Amino acid sequence: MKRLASALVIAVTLCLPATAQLPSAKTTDLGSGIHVIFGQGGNIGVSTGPDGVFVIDDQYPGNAPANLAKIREIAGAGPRYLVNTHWHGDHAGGNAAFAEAGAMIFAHENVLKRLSGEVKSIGLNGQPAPPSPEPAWPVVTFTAGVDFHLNDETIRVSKMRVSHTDGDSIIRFVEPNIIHTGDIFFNGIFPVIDLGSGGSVKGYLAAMEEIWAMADERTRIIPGHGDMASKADLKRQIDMLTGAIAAVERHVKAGDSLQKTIAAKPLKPFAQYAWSFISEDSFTTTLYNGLK
Amino acid sequence: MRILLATAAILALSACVTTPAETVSVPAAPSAPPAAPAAPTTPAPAAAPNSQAFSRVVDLGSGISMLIGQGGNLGLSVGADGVFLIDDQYVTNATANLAKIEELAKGKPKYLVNTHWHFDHAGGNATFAKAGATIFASENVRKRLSNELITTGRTAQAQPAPKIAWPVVTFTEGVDFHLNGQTIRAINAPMPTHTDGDVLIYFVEADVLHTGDTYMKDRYPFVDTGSGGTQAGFIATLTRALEITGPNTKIIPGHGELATEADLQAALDMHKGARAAVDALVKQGKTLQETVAAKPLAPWNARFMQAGAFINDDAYTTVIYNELKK
Repeated sequence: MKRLASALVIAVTLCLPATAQLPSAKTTDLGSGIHVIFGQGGNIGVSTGPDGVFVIDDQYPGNAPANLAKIREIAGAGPRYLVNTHWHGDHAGGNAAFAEAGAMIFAHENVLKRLSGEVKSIGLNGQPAPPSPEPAWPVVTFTAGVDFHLNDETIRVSKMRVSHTDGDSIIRFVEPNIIHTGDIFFNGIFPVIDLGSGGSVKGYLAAMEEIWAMADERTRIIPGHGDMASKADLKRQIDMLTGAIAAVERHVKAGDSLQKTIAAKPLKPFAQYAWSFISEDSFTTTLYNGLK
Repeated sequence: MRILLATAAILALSACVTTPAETVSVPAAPSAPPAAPAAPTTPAPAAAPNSQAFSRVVDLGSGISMLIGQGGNLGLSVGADGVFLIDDQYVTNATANLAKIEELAKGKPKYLVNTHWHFDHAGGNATFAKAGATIFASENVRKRLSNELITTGRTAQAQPAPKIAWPVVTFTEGVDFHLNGQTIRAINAPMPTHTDGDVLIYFVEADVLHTGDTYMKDRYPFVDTGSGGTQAGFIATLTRALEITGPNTKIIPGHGELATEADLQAALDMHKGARAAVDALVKQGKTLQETVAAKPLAPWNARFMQAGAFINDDAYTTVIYNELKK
């Protein structure tokens, strides 16, 4: 019960509200045994096959049972391996439930440090996030990355530079040419850049450009949030962020206060990227604080 | 199936370290289970080679033990989070080892790390994978077991290992396990050493280090050049290992008895001294034959060359000479 309570606190204090922009779970079959579950929280990647079920991210504690059921329906078995793209509660919130279902959890070492509270993560309310219960902690951690050789595929997990947080990994399904970007890509909406978890505005842009360079015209991209994307969609997002950074940086360099910067509405040209969780003003604030 | 078995048997026989060398001078350890019948130190000639389960368990505390038998030394961690195993010896004794580990640990290994690809360390992979273990190793272990990288020399294998024996999770810059109250750190060797895919495993809280075959207690090393090994790597890797260890560290060598930091330091000093001694002769323009005949490793023979040793001073001198002449 205590666990549930603290998990709820994370979901609330952390990033995304329990009802994100996507109303209900839907799944997409990408072929080669790979599926995506879109729903509440971050997009879940699933690789199915004879060597075991491999899952990327597990959304919230509250919808973990439903997601586990969905995975069993798609794959015919529960998850054996689970990778967290980062520590946030809308991506790693289901960890305890997935571990209990038999999943071996892998993540960058900073994911463990933040879930365990060894390193404090400061929420938007200025308060440190409470630690997660121990069953939710990754069991295998890495600093650079690991490769999985499963279901006749090479699945490459690579730590990216400090960007959305200080513990972001992307996952590439090498042969079918699919990339799960974690939250380094919010498709078509303003991204969360979590400065309170060690994120960086310029690092975020650079990480997006790195992913862009890894992709080719045929790459299918599973973003952390939003619909399936192409390299061209990623480029549009990079252009938006490049423009947004330039617009806010002008004010920072001019010595404008945060208040004055917000009042100037520098992100007006990008207004269509605003959404329920990140408004024009809140993204202006993040960029201002990150660039200052 | 028969072909696989036959191949496996050949591999087991031709693999780097054969049993006679490591069963020499094995005193009965006080921690050996009293019920276990005294294992013969040398298998009877008629017995199938390398078919016996490990015969000794050295309890290192914190649920960690060193298992000594035929093939490389095993490392075992038992606790609430699952059974964690380092290496699995031969294909021929895997079933016996698995049964004995299950009895000891009250469960099957969930995590298995290969220190390197050789068949006296990773030969049991298929058996352990079938029993549910997820196998972790350096990327080059998978490449050599699958013959993506072709091994030459005395450990060359004509056929790749069966696919189920290949590691499922590979890495080049280490992974940490957080299990059974321990941080268990798998550390890639800083450069090719015994092979090009060596991993050291360190139990941080318990202060126990498994070196794989980058260290064999009081023996000259086997530099498996056909698997990419280098003598310079022994110097680099033991230097790295000594950065990790402290005066109380318990060291599980790839072969031989439990060792101390002082033992490891002596091995590093020997590697450096041997290289310098051979280098002096190379710089004088000596041929390989002249160099070997000069017995440059004589100062270390008393400690590092036991009777019937697998690698004698001449063999080690030759490896160093050839590397320096490259």
